[in-house]
Amino acid sequence: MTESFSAEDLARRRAASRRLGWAIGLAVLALYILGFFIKR
Amino acid sequence: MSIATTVHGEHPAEHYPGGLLRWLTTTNHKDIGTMYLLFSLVMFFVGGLMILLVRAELFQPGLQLMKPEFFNQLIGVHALVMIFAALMPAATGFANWMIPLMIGAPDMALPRLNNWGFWLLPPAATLLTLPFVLALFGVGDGAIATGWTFYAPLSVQGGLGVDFAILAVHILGISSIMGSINIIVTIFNMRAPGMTMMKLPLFAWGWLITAFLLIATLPVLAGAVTMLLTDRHFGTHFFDAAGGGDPILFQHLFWFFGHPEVYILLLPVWGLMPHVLATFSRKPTYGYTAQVYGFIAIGLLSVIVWAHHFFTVGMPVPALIYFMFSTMAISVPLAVLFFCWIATMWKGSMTFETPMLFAVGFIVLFGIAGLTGLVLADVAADAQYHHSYFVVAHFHYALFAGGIMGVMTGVYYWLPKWTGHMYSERLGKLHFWLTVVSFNLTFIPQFFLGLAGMPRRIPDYALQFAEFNAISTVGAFILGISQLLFAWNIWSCVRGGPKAEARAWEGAEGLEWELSSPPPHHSWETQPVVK
Amino acid sequence: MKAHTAADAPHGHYFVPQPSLYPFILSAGVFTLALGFAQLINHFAAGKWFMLAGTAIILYVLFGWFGKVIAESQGGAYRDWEDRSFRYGMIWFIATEVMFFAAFFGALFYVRVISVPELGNMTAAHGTSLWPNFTGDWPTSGPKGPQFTPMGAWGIPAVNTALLLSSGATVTWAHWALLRNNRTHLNLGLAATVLLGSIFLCLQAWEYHHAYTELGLTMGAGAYGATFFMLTGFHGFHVTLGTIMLIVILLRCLKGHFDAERHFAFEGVAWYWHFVDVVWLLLFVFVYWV
Repeated sequence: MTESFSAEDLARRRAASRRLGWAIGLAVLALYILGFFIKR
Repeated sequence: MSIATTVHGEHPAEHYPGGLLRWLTTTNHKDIGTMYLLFSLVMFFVGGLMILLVRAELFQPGLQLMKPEFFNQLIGVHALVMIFAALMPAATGFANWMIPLMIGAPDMALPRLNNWGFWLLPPAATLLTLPFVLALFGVGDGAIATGWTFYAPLSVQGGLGVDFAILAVHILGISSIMGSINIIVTIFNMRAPGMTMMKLPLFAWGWLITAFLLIATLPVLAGAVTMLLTDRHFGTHFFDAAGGGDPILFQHLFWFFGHPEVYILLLPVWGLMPHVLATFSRKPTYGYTAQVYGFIAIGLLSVIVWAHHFFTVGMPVPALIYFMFSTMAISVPLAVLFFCWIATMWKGSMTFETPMLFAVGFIVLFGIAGLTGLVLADVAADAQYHHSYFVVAHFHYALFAGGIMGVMTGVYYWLPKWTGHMYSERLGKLHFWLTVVSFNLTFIPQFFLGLAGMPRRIPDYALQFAEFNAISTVGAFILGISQLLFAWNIWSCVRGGPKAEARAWEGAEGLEWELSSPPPHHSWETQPVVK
Repeated sequence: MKAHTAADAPHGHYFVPQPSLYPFILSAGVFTLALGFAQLINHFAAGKWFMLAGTAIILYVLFGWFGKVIAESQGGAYRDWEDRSFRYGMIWFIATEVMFFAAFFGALFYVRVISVPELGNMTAAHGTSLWPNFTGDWPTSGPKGPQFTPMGAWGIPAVNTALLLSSGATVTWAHWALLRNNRTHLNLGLAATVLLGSIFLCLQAWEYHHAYTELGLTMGAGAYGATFFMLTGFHGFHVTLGTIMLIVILLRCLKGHFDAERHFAFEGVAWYWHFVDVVWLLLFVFVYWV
């Protein structure tokens, strides 16, 4: 068994995964939009 | 029905033979699962050793270590061993161990058949590799040298290695079909009261679709290699234009099996992922229903897209367009699965134990496999990439990063349940990072090699490919050697380690975590009731 | 996909058999047989002895394993829950057999629809051909194949169709008799089925003899010969297995096994028999007739 995590720790991780999710989502969206401007 | 209780007795444990005989005679799904997993691990190293020889030969241009004939044998047997003797048995081992625990069944539905399914594997692996040994004694010219695809007419002309491989494939096929029938029957007939199909754990759902695919396609492979055998020895002309046959017929039959085979290798892993992601995100799985329908959709689509493996063979344009679009259609349900995996982690309290690392690594790397697959599915682009190292890199992202890393996810996730001990988290993480870095070191250069036009399955290459090949070989050796850590970690976990609790992971949900770790030899003899 | 669960079988535990060495011995037999076959086709003298030994081992296991299962069944070990497992298992086993035959039918359709017409169309399509005189008509043994006469549909094959269709009826007659506990009709129906199957096999053997000695129709007769013999040959092999299974069931019936409620083995074999029957109808239409 891994060490158990405190309630605060878990809450902090929850917030972190939400932030990271938004960040990745925005990055993908930015790449997608960028694609419209790239001409070969 | 009072006789029934006297026939099977209350405490059968007393009659069990010990030692080797226990493993030869067992009807217990946990014992059989263990045998499948150990066999898979051994064959993983056998297949790996073969490909390290190949990479050593490819370290520099020119022929250094071996004759081209031996090189050809190594690549083909590497693939057959990895697919049929390492990946498929690993998935079947998972199924044997976990499906009865997950669905609250006392055992697999047909226990003796289950044992037969396993014990067919060592003979088949022996048949496959025996020609290597025979060649050492001057009998025959070595193992099958056609690549794993057996393409006619090369396979019609090959030596006795082809016959051994054909018979090995027949036996492996019987084994897989027996395993599949058993799994389907177990899932349909052995679920705990109250566990409806839409409450079935996703791992079992993934395996159910896998089993149906095996039943639909493996007999076709058996038929194809049977025709090959009669073409070789009994005078038929299935694959010979002089008799009105066609070598391309073999490609159609082979890939009617071969493409679903990819999903056969991957669906168990896709079924396992949501369990791991949910556990370490401490959240319920996102989109259970969507994932079930995703599995079914992929299963159905997978049997109607086979010809994209030989776009360049000369098919009518309407056929090319059909196979291109149907192939690309698979990306829709697959994208649904990716979305569900990511959404399961979204807003979760994520912790990164080894299984979770492997799961996240799987999502990223398998994503690359999917995207490069879309490139290859494009008929116009495929004309350039066909039979190049781009294809090799693509399917290793699918089958190593997707298949084998998925299996490693499952092994780390369930080892505490199987052994009752925790493995070394430190070694596990080291194993993960070494594997991921060296895997990419091996296969990213192969994308570039393929784009630059290096053909696969050739022991020599032009000078401009030298640097990338050298990098790839270094990566492959690090990758191979790091797997010793994996074996060592499993070994020491079996031997001892900190005690694992029944619910080995904090966020784990499901019937399998209600049982002690390790579970008793006979579990769920009285079925649990699912609300 | 209705949920069948233990709730339907409240009388105790699922039957998990004791450890058994049969599966391992069977694998050893299969291995020996395969090893022998690989030697035989590569002209090693020991091949046939290996095959003989492998066959002997497999036969030993078939008698031992099935004997044990029959004893368990007669001992009342199997109830509704176990019975359902066998039924599902048999259904999906037959599904694999369907796909096995599908591979050979696929090969037949491929040569008839794609490869043979294309070979005949080479000059028109590409301006050149290795075999300009090849027309691509079916039946054919291909551009370089031997002369042969194709097998007509309305001789022995039509008789065989009638035989197999009536055997499907007689096995159903036996089944109805079993359900009504009419043992005489059960035994008569099964015996008639075995008889019809055996006559079918004899006629099939005679047809093969006729093909080889008089028609020049051999396995080497190009696409037609290959598909003809592989399809009818594997079908004949399955009829042989089915007949053997029916004989076993008949012997069990004569010993008083099975009752109206508990007779999976009978039904499994009957399903198998209907399956070979359906395959034959497809064979008759696509191999012999059109």
